[in-house]
Amino acid sequence: MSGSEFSFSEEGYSSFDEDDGYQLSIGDTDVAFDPDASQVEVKYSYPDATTSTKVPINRIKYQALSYDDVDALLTEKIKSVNGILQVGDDESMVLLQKFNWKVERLLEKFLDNPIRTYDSVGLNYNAVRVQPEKLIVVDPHFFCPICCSEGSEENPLTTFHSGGCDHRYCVNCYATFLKEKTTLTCMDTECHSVILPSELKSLSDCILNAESVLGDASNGLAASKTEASADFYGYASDSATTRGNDYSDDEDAAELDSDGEEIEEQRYLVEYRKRKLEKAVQDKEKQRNKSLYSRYRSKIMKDHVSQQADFRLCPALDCPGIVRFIDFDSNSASSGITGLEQFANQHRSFPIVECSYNHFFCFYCSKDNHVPIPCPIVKAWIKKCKDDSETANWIDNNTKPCPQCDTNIEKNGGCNHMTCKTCCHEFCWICMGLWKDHKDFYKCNRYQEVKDDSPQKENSRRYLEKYLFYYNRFAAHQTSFKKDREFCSKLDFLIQKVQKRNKVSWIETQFYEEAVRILLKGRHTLMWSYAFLYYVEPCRLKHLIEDSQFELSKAVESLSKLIETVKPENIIKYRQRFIKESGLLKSHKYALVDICLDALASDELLISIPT
Amino acid sequence: MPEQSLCLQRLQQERKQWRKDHPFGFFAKPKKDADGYDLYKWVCGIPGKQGTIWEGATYPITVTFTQDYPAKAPKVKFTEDFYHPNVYPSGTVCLSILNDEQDWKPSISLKEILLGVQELLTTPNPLSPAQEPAYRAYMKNREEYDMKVKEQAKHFS
Repeated sequence: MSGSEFSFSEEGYSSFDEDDGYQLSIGDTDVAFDPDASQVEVKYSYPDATTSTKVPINRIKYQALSYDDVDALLTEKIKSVNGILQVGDDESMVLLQKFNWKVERLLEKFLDNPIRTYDSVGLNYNAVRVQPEKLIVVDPHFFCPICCSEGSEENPLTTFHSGGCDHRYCVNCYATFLKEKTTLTCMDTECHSVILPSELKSLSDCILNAESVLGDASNGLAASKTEASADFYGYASDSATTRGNDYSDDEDAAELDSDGEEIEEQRYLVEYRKRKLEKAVQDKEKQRNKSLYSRYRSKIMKDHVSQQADFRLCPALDCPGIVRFIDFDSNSASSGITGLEQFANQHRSFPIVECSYNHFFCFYCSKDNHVPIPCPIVKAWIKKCKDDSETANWIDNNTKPCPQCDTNIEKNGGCNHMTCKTCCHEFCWICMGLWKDHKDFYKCNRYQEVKDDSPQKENSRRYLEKYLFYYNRFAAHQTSFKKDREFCSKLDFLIQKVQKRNKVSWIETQFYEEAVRILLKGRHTLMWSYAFLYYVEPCRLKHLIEDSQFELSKAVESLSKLIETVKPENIIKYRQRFIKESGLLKSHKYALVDICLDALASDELLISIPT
Repeated sequence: MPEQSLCLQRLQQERKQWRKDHPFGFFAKPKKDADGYDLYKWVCGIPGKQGTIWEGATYPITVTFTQDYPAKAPKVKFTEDFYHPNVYPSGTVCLSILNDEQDWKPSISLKEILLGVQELLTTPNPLSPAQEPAYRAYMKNREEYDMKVKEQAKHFS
């Protein structure tokens, strides 16, 4: 792709510092941008540059951008293009959109034949457009041919038309027509005249005004609702204003040595503020969807972002977060990494990024957070799981038979210590072995390599067995993860109940929510570690990883059991235990990730990924 | 104003316009049901153009409007297994002006739809085939295609 050659550093970005060493290396983005000039914090894909044993980790630098940040970037891009074309911001935008935001292609075509380029987007090069504010006409004698409404002296119709033609229709019909569109044209059958963004804005404002007159009555209801929710947060917001604590980014580090109650409380305050911010952003998002123009603008922006190689939309459902790739860190540079693909295929790197709404995802493969395993293994594992659908069909079955009475049991959440409702048999959901033996002999995280003493025909069966061993564990944790996440979505409600019942403040219940979130993260890491170990050949490092995995699974089970057995109304009594166990889980999680990273960097580790 | 009444308002207008003036050889009327007329369902006829292999017959189609009309295009259907490269085996017509994502505009009238479909009969669009037999014959064996079309014309005359 040739677009990267084109830079606007001379025209529009005098602040761009050539010595900064910043260069776009992964795509054909054409507007250079100085990351230092923007206010957004630059983050790394992994908190530390090395593991605990000082093995360097390759990381990427990125920014978690909000809608507004990217919107500003888009505006700048349009402005800089207009700086060359001198045709107006609106016209530049429509032209850019037509050329898939590729500036170079647009310039080439435009300089070659401006009239034809104009014509291709429904613009007329020589005609003067009607001013946007003059497009809205109130007409008592108008008949709209679309909805067949007729205006009268008492009830005149408001009409709209494109600035490039005079095909008038009523504003409501126009709004319905343009609602889902990104390319805006006149509604007339034969007319191709384009509607410019500023003209759409004028239509959009006109409709908003009409709605606000209508909506006054219903607004009263909405206002009382907001008050009620403010009440709910009332206690916490008071304490938040009286004590100003700065948000510390090192929350993970603080987590482990947070003995004092005060530090705890400060953290919760930070959490609380973060959530309040989130809520404000959500409200903004709703507002954005409200008007015709803002809907259009946000669609254009997403369209634009998805065409850029160094931007990613957060893959989480309905999440407006956008992540921008900036550069590789010095470790990566010294390993000679220049492209994202090369980066992702290195075993010592995870391009895991966090969007502004706390969703973690992989910048390279857009999958969810697959720490501790690198992208190629994720790809291989997902493909494997898909290909083996024949077997997966029955594995996928959500039930397992009780080892004693064969009653089908569906695990709907909680820990792996199962008690059959029919025969009271107690067993482990993971290995289906007796729970009694399990307490001192908890070895079910370890795959027993079968000694090679049987003939070759047995081999394929053994491969399947090995796969099923890991897949079953992966799938079991995946299911539990989903159930836990469901539980997590109900937390707000539960906590509210606890607050009322025990007459405690919101802040005093936060440890519970924190514990559930830590459990979720821990389980996720554990889940991926099984996919990882499937590809690792038996060696000393594999044993080390298994040991660490064992510790983590113990911690996950223990916290999961605690959350399952302690009823929400009693959580206050168990506060210390919750805090202790979740702290333990967190440290085990980091230990496992650390060991995996160390192992990946070492030559000893043998990974066999089928090509 | 609720969407439904807008839709009916427009359909009534379409009916009025059609009665006032419509192209020769065409017919279009709302389907009769127990309560009178169903304005959402129209039974129409399209004459084959004179001097083409389609002449001499009036091809029956149904035009079904939804509550979202005129924001969304109506569905136009021939009889099942109608022989034409751009008609699906179900009878549904594949035409850009009838596609919401493509060229549909709320200002397109019933008359324009029917004239568009008549045009499509004689000038199929080989870029978006909708059924195999007619498309294959049209591309590879024009004699067979002409014969089949004429046979069909006889059937509908």
